[in-house]
Amino acid sequence: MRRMRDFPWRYVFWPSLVAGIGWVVYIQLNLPLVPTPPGQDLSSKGPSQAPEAEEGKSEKQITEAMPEAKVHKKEHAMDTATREPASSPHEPQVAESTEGVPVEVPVGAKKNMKSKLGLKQLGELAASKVSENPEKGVPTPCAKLEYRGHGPGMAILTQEQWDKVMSEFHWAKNHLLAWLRENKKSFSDSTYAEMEKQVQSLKVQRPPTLDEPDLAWRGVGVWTHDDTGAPLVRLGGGFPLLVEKNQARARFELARLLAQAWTPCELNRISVTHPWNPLLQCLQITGQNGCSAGSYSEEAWAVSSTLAAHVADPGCVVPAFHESALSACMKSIPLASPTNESAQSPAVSWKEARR
Amino acid sequence: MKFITILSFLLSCSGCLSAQNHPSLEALEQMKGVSPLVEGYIEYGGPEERWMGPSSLMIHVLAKEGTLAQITVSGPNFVEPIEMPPTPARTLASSGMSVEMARDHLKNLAGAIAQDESPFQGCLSPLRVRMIHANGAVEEKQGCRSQKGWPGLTNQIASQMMAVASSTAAPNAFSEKTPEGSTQAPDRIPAGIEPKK
Repeated sequence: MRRMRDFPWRYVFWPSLVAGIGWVVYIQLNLPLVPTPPGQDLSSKGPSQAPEAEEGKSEKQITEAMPEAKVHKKEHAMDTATREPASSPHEPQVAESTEGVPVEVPVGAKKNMKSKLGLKQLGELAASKVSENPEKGVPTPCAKLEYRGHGPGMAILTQEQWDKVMSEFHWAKNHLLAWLRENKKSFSDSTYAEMEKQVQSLKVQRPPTLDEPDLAWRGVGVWTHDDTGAPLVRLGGGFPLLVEKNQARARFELARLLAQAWTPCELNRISVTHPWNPLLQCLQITGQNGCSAGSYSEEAWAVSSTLAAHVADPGCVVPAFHESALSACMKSIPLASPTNESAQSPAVSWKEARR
Repeated sequence: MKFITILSFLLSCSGCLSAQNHPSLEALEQMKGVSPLVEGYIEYGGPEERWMGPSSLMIHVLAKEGTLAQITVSGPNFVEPIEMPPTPARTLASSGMSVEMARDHLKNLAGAIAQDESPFQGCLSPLRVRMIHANGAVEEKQGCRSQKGWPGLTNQIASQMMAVASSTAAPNAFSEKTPEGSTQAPDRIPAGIEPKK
């Protein structure tokens, strides 16, 4: 005990105290987790706040430091390009609660996010995502998006997943039929009746399918006919993942597949004069050949893409409409007119698949 | 004596089975008057880039030499699921596809194409197949992916090849890169190879 009492504690205590204060100040200056409102000094925080500045801080607290992540979360899911630039952290909205809103990070990065990124880097990541497209109201053209399926022979798809797919399928079907009803005057009675019947009778087939097992590896849907000649949509094994990850895009894709029941070639097949000439003229798509083997109709893709974008916003722009000249065609839908429809022959142009 | 007989039988069998002598295999097929199909392309067409729709997908199989066929899938920029479980199809395909099996697939496909006389009414999803014989002759056919007949067989073969390509253990891969030893694996069937009449 005598030896302990004689130990020169003053040489240890004061340096430790100075180092501790320095450490706290360093953390608060370099890792500003909670934006400081104007006039508030860093030192005014309670002592319990300092340890929270460590990298193990909870996701909720991280989100509080990035209020824009919540304010624009919904918009981000729809379209990152339409988001406004990041506002100053000193604005009053900073103090708003953002409870329960996770930070959006790339799917692959989510698992190891905390272990690989410090909070400072996370803040920078969130800020960069918020301000990555500073042009207000300028949506980006849609890129191809396809989730790979697991292949046939494995029941990866759960009933819950399939229920979600069916729910979105019916959503798209109802919206497409609602659009048809709204624009009934643009079509002749017989055309309207056939178009309505085409979509109402359209069925969707759950993956994997015996007829097209390769689809089980893909994430797309294919419009086709069943053995009786009725329209049918076969979905790829990866499509339910699209429904889970990007609902807006999934709805668009389903609406596009449904709208393929109204494409010129398909209406021609059921002896209905297609009503899309005004739209196709606006899009400057001129037909050359009839429906033939090994070919595809650009008109069909144009009509289905345009209609789908009209009833189910994918959160981005169909690349063709990213050009200002053609975007007017999209805005002026419906472009079908009964007079044109009756005057023109049901010429369908199927262009050679090879480009 | 019985042991020696069995041993010699086993040795002769193993000798037959393990001999992957492709030049003689080709010679045998050529003796029959048919040059083997050693390369194939299966192309699922999609719309132009400016419209929305599935990406074009190309499967290229090369079965000229070696023990395993080179299979490459190119086209879509797939988003991989976070976890890819070892499905039965992938497990079976993990050892790859032998050259003989790939040639058999191409041969069966050529047979189905030769028999096909089904009518066609146009489609949104074209399917195109091109097969190349060892002597350079080319066979080609176009149709629709949902069509009955040879497109159905093509879909099954394509599924098996995609299983091989998706298996990480296999030497083949889902890739846009050209596999080593193959001629090419483009996004589209290469031009300049015209079918022989």
